[in-house]
Amino acid sequence: MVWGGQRLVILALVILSSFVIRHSSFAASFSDGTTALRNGDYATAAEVFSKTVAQDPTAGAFQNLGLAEWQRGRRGQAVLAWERALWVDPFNESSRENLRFARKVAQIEAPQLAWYEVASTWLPVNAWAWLAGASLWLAVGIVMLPPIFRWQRRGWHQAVAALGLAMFLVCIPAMFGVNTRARIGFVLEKNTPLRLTPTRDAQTVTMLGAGEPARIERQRGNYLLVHATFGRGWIEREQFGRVCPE
Amino acid sequence: MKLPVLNLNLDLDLNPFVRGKEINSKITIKIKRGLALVAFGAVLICFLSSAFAQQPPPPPNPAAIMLSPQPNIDTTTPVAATAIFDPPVIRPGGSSTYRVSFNALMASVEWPEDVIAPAALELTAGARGEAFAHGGSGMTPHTGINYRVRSITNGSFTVPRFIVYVYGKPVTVPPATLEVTENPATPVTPGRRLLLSAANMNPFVGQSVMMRIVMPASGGGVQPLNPVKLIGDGFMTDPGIIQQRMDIFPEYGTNSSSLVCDTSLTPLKAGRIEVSAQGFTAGLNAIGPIIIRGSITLAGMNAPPALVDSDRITLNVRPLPRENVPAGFNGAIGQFQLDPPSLNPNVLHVGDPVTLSVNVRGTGNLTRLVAPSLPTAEGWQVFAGANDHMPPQLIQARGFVTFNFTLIPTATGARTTPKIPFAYFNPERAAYVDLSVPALNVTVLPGATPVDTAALMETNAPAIAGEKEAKLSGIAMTPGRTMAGMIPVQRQIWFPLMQLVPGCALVALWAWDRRRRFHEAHPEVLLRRRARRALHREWAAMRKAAALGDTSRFASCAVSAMRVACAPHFPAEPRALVSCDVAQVLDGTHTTHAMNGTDVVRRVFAAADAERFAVEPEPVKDLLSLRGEVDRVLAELEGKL
Repeated sequence: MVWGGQRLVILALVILSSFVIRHSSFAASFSDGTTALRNGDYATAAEVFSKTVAQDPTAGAFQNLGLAEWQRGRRGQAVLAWERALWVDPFNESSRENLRFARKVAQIEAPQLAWYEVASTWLPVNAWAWLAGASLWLAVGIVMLPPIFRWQRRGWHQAVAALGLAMFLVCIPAMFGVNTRARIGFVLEKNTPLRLTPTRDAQTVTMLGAGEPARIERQRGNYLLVHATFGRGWIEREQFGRVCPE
Repeated sequence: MKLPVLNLNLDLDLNPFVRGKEINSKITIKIKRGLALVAFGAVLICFLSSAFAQQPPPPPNPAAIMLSPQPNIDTTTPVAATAIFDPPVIRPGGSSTYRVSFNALMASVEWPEDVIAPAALELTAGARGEAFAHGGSGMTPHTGINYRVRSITNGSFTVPRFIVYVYGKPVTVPPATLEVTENPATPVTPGRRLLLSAANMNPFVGQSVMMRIVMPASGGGVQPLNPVKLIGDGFMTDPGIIQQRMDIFPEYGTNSSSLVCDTSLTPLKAGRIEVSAQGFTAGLNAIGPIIIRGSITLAGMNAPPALVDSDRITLNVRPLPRENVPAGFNGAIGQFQLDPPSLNPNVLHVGDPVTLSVNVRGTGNLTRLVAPSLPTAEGWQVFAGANDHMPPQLIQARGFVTFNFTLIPTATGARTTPKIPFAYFNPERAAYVDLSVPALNVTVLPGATPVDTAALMETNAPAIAGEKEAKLSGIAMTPGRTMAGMIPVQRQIWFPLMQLVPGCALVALWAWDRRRRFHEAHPEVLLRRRARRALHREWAAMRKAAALGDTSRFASCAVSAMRVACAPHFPAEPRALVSCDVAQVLDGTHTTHAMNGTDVVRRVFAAADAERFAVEPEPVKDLLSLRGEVDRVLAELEGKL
C-alpha cells in the first residue's frame, strides 16, 4: 500500500515536472521570438514563433508570427497567422485589427461567413462543443434525476431544463459553423494560379492574391478544389493554408 | 448573260468632317450590279479623301510641345570607350578602381556579366551610372561602370581589350594596365574615390540620418559632383537638400581642398541596410549652388565626366518601440519644440472659422513632419491641419515647420480651443515625448449663422467616432489563450465517445430506478430471490456436512434450508417455521419415492430439535442416508419458490 502511494507520488511528480519543463521551454521560446521581433530580426522571429505555435498554439504567438511575416512581406502567411489567432481566441482584438489593416492595405477581402459561422465566432471554437454537451446533459439530467431520486418537483427544474435545451439548440448551428469554418483557408503566395483541372499544365482560371480567402470543397492528390471570391478551381496544396490544419 | 440592274441611292453628309463648308451630295447611279460595287467604292474613296484633304492639321501634341525645347540627346556620335585604372599604380594590398566609360546611354550598353582579368586581380563590381554633359549637338550621355580592384601580388596586370555592344554595334574597350609594386617610381597618388560616413550608424526607422560624402582632392585639385546619389535598399533620400561645399578638411589627410556633400537618409525598414554613394565629376556642368571657402584649386574641369563611388557602409536600423505609443505620434522623430500657438482673433462668433497656427522647431525629420490628426471636440468643428508646403530646402534652412488648423466654433459654451495631440520620438532617449498643442482661451459669441451647426456636428459625430484608423498592433507580450490543438474537439473521436458517459450513467440510473420500483410493487419476488440464495447457501453447507459425516450439522443445515425455502410462502421469519409448515408447503407430494417427503421433513426436524434441545442428545442413526431424500425435498421446495 505504501509502495503504491509512493508510486502515485512519483508519477504525479513526473507529470508535474514535465509540465513545468514544457511550459518553461515554451516561455523561453516565446521570449526569444518577441526579442527578435522587437529587434527587427523578422526572419528569426517568424521561425521561432512557427515552432512555438507548432508546440503550443496560443493567440499571442500567432499574433506575433503574423507581425513578423507581415514585416517580411509575406502577406498570405501573415493573414493566415492572424486568422488562426482569432480561431484560438476570438476575443483577440489586436489580431482582428491587424486583419483589418492588412485587408485594407493589400486590398483583399475577408471571407464571407454565413449566419451560423458568424455565430460560431462569438466564442472559442471548442466552447460551443463543451457548452452543447453540458447543456444537453444538464437538460436531460434535470428531467430524469428528480423522479429517480424522488426529489420533490420544483419549478426551477423545468426552467433549468428549458434553458439547457435552448442552449443546446443555440449551440448546434454554431458547432456547424465551426465545422464549415474549418474548411476556410487563405492563399499564401501572390499570383497563385487557380486551375481548371488538378494538373500542373491546367488552364488558369484566374490568379489569386496573397491572403485571398477560399473554401475547400474537396481534395485530390496534391490539389485542393477551392471556391474563392473570383472563381472556383484547383489550387496546389502548398500554396494554400487552412485555418484549421489537419 | 444579262446582268441585273441595280438602283443605288447614295446620300453623303460630310458636315462632321468639314469646317465652314457644307457639302451635301446626292447621287443616283443606275448601273449594272457587276460595276456597281467598284463604282461605289471609288466614289466613296473620292469623297472621303477630298473631305480629309480639306481638314485643317491637327493641333500639336502638348507632350511634343513640352519636349521640343529640351536639348537633344546625342546618340549619333560614334561611341568610344575608355578604360583606366585609377590610380594606375598601387602597392600590394592596395586598391584601385577599374573605370570604363562610354559616351552612350547606359541602357544601350550590353555589358558582359564578367570581365576577364588576370587571376592576380580581384575585381568586385562597383557603381554604375549615367550622366549628361553639354556637348556640341545637345546633351552627351556618359555611362560609367566601375570595378573595385585589389591585388597582393607585385607585377604589371593588364585587362585586355574586349568587345561590348552599344546601340547594337560592337565597341572595343581598350586595354588598361595596373602596376602593383612595392617601390613605385613616382609617389602613389590615391585615386578619385568617395568617402561615405553616417552621423548615426544605429538609427531608428524613420529617423533622419545625416550622410556625408567627401571627395578628397586628387590630381592637385577638386571637382564638383553631379549628380550625387546614395545607392541601396530600404531607405529614402531627399535629393533636393544635398549641399555641396569645397573646403580644406585636414581630417581627410590632405591640406588641399575637398568636396563635401551633406545629405540626409531616412531608413524605411528595420535591420541592416547597406548604403554606398556615387556621382559623376561634373567639371563645368555642375548644377546647383556650391559653397566655396578659402583658396580652392579646381582641376580637370574640361575632362569628361567620370563615375566615382564609395565603399558600402552598413547601418543597423532599429525599429521604433511598439509599447506606449502616444495617440498623437504620427512619425515625428528627432528633438522638437513647439512655439506658442497663435490664434487670431481669440474672440469668435459661432460659425466663424479661425486659424490656429503653430510652429514646430527642432532637429530631425523636420521636412517630413505631418500635421497631427485632430480628435473630435465638443463645440468645435476642426479641420485637419495643412502641411507646410514650403520646399524642403527652405524648411531645413529656416529650422521650423508651420501647421495651420482651421477651427469653427459651433456653440457659445466653448471657452478653450481643443487640445491637439502631438508627440515625437526622441531617438537619444529612445522614448516618446508628448508635445501636444495646448488649449487656448477663447471667447465664443453667438453668431448669425443661418445653419444650426451644432445639429450638423451631431449628425456627423457618430460617423467620425466610428472611423477608426486601421493600423498594425503592437507585439503580444504574453502567449494569451491557448488550445490543445487547432482541430476543434467536436471533430475528434474522443469527444463524442465522452458524451456517451453521462448518457450511459443516466440510462443506468433509470434502469436501477425501474428495478427498484418493480421490487417495491412485487416484494415477494425479492423475498423468493433472497430465499433461493439462502437456500443455496444452506444446501451447500448441508452437502459439505454430509461429506464430512457431521450428522448434527447436516440436520441443522437441512432444517435451515427448508425453513428459508418455505418462509416466502407464508410469509414468516424462517426461524419461526416448524416441520408441519414445511410439510404444508410440500402438500403430500413426493410420494412415489421410498419415503414420503413429509416423513423426511419430520425426521430431519426431529433430529435437529434433538440435537438442539435434548439434555443428552442421542446420535441419530442413518440420518445421512436420507441425504438423497432431503435433496429431493429441497429441490421441490426450490421449485416452488
